[in-house]
Amino acid sequence: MQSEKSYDGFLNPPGECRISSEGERVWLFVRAPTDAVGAIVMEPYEMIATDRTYEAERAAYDALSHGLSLDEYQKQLERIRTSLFVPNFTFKSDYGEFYDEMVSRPVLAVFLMGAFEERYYEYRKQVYTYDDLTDDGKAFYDFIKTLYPGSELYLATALET
Amino acid sequence: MLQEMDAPTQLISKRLVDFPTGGVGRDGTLVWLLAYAGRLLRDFNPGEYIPLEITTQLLFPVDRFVGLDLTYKQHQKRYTELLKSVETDPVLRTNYLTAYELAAVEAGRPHLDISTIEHPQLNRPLMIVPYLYGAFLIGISPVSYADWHCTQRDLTEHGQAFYKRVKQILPSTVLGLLTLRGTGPLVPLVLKSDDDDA
Repeated sequence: MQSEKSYDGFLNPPGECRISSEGERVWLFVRAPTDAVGAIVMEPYEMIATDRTYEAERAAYDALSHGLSLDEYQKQLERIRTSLFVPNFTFKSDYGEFYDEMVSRPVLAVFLMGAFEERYYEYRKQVYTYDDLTDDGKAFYDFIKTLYPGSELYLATALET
Repeated sequence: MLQEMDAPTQLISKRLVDFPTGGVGRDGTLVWLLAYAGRLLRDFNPGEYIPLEITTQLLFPVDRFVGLDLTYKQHQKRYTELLKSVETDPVLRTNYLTAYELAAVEAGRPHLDISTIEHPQLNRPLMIVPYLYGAFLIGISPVSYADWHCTQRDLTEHGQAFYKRVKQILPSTVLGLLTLRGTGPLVPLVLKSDDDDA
């Protein structure tokens, strides 16, 4: 059980604090095995990546820094994320414009696994994975996986700026 | 489609909600367990650390709303008042919300509200459930009910255990049970190709 003021939740920071002016948040998404049920939610604000897409996203980013066009990079990003997030043509403001963030495909659950006031990322690993959860966090993750058989679980890491 | 898939047993492995027997329609019913960030529901200390963007929200057309256990009593009271006033108040008759929907919103704040966000394929306003650490779909029924919304008493033993577990994870968590009409996605997902075709 967490203390009344702690937002650490189920997270074990992977290293020393690197940036004290930024925080980070980690969300659990349970992607439904069917599009016939679930909630469509916005991607977390300032999301870096999910644990399942990070390696591919990093490779695309490396390609961008080696000359890939921004347009092609964005298309690659869409393809990499498409199992969970898609470009937003679902929610628009009352000014008639779609919000920039992507939206999820239908999810059966979404939950904040924890938030830190500081940023603990390491250069080669900027997103939280299952291994970065506390024992309680792993137990909760495993329970959720059992509760929703056939669903895909994702851990999405986002900056708090 | 859900009935063909036997969705309740396929999507959720444990029975968490004890739905009533019988039913009056085939629209179906969903129950969501909501975990509110309680500190954002009420005034808080400006100097107190609260991470930014720690919440998410649910959006769905207002006509799918059946009830939220946290606000249900006030909702019903306000609904009764509105029904009494409808004979004398011409404004209500021209409002774009039904009396049931309007009462839900008036009695529901800050737990729920009408959103300014719009959906390109829907012509009813969206209801927003803000300030959420998260939400879990915990019950799907293929039938709808005349006068039922889920409360904590309607949770099974597994449901009660899950409820208590979620409550302990993050500070100031306030749990709610949201009952919605229909079993489909809360809003239709619009893909780029759909938009291009439109």
